[in-house]
Amino acid sequence: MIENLSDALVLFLNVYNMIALAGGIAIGVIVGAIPGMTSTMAVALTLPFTFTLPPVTGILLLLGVYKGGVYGGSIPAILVKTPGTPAASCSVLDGYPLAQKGQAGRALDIALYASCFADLVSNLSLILLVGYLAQLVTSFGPPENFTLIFFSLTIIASVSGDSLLRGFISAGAGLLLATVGLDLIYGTDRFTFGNTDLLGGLAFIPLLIGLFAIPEILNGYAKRGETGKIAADPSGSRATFADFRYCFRSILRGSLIGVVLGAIPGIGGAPSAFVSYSEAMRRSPNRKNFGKGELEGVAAAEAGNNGVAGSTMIPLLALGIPGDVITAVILGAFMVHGLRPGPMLFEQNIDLIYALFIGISISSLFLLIIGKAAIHMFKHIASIPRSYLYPVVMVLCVFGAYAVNNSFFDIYVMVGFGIVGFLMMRMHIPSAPFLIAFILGPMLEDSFRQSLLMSQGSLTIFMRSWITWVFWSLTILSVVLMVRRHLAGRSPDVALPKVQEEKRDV
Amino acid sequence: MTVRPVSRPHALILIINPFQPEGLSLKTVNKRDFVLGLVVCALALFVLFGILPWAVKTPKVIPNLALSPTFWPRIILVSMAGLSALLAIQAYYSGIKSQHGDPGDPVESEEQPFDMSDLRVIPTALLMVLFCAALKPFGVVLPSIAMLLGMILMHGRGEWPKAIGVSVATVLILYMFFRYVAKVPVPLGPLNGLL
Repeated sequence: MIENLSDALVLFLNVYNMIALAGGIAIGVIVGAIPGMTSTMAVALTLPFTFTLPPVTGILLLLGVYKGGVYGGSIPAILVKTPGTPAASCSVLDGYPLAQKGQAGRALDIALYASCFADLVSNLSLILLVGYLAQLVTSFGPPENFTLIFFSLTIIASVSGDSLLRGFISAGAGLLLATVGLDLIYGTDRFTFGNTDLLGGLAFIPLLIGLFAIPEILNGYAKRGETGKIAADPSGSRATFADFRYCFRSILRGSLIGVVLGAIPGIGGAPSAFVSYSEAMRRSPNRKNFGKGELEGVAAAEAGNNGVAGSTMIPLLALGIPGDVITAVILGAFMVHGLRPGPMLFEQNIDLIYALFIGISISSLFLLIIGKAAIHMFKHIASIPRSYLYPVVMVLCVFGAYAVNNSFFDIYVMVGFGIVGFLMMRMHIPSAPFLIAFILGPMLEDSFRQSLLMSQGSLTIFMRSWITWVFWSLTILSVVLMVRRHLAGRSPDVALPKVQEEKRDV
Repeated sequence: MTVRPVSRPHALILIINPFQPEGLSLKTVNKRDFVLGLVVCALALFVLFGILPWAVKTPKVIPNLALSPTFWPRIILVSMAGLSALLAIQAYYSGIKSQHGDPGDPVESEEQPFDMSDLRVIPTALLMVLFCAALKPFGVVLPSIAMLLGMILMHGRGEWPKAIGVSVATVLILYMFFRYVAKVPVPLGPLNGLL
């Protein structure tokens, strides 16, 4: 063990590894902060540069890009209500209202601290629990995934604002639009109307930008010329240690949620952020402030989102199974260097594994330093006059939407959903349930149908293991709590949190 | 019910918002939810019975109903129709309660879903639609410059030279980044060969 560690230190301790890690994080933060440029895209673009690098340096570069990208997405989400990455969409809910209150700096700081802490917890979990978690993860099949995602959908109640019905209708629309495209089991078209652009379904990023960023831009035009508070003024606001302590429980909980969900192949950062946010809201004494600019909401979302960053490597390293597209690209980097992740890697290249673990552990510190610098750089966005900021954000959204599939159709989708999102805003229909349902819908349907294929149509498969029972119990508990809270909220003195401030003064 | 003469901009608002602000006694939030419930219910039923049968192709032999490609959309549409009908009913009855002085359900606000300031959005939305139409013939760069310039000037605070400078510089920087760093083949339209 000691010998392996010393070999690993020799492998890791060179200036190129440090530069690769820091450079990767910096690239990731910048790319993540550009709407439409996802961490996946950034990692994929960086992959060719690693071919000529030594394995540890190359893989650390990719991991740096990935981790930086996950955090970077929160910056525009907080400053201009445009999540840089899908996983950062939950940070919009409280981050942007905080920015509107002139506390953008505080929100960005707490997002960074929560991200770094969650990243550290995730890395430590990867190092310490890789074996155990990998064993648990192997017991997740389609029925377990279905119950997990079904439970995740209960979060819709938390983000529905003052009307559960409006929230559910919004979620229904999201679920319905998620069915557009080729049916995965029979390969038949659904709602494509002969349009080949729709065969792959509606792209997530243009829809996300359309629903969140464009309504805000249009709202800015509706309210132009009116006097009132200037949005997103970060001057002077900073998160203190007291803020961190105040949010600590949610950060820790979110980190652990991220670790567990990140280890399950195919789940990813966005559901983890929403589950973490929902749990923080359920347990917070200040739950009525959620959605109106609650610091704990930003911290929980970012912790959940970043908690997956290390644990997604668990199935990759332990079993050789990539849990998502990014780890699939990283798997490619391993293979380019003649390495095959899985149990044999631990037998044959344990020094390389330890060297990666050391690098991964240090990455949280690098993220903190680089993230701090990025906040200083990006916070000036908030001081740009609205008359220039809105149009520039709009053009940025256009390029971002186009870059997803190099398709004009995605720009049309973005603009279309932008106008729909503005109407939803005006009709007080929350867009967060729509988005959550759109993300989780395909996973829910696929796992449901795969389970039924496995069981030849018997619904008892959804009760087959203790894991499914745990998630059913959690779902029932969650629904009971939701109904109780909703009934309590109907009394005039207890108001349910209002997630979207649709008619806000600008 | 007396109908007051309305000014032209006010008439436009009435087209957007079918309830006359002064004419009906249901509270605004209930009117909004009532209309929303009815519209969504009608849409869900229309998609369920009118669009779904021909927009989703179903294989001839399906071993289990739940495996049919139409199963999931049907469940969603039926749920949406039910929930939206419930929303309309809830809004209607809470409106009647409030009309009779019963506090009933707490009403969130008295504001209209749309107001005069929303008319300002129409030119911006039209500009976005025009931008979309210009993409195929002119590529991404030229329409983006035009849209950026238009949006800056529409906001009312931009000065021409500064607005032109910002528009051209922003779009060119973004083009360079996406084209040469992110390797995204951004269509140039008539500028092909120049950049």
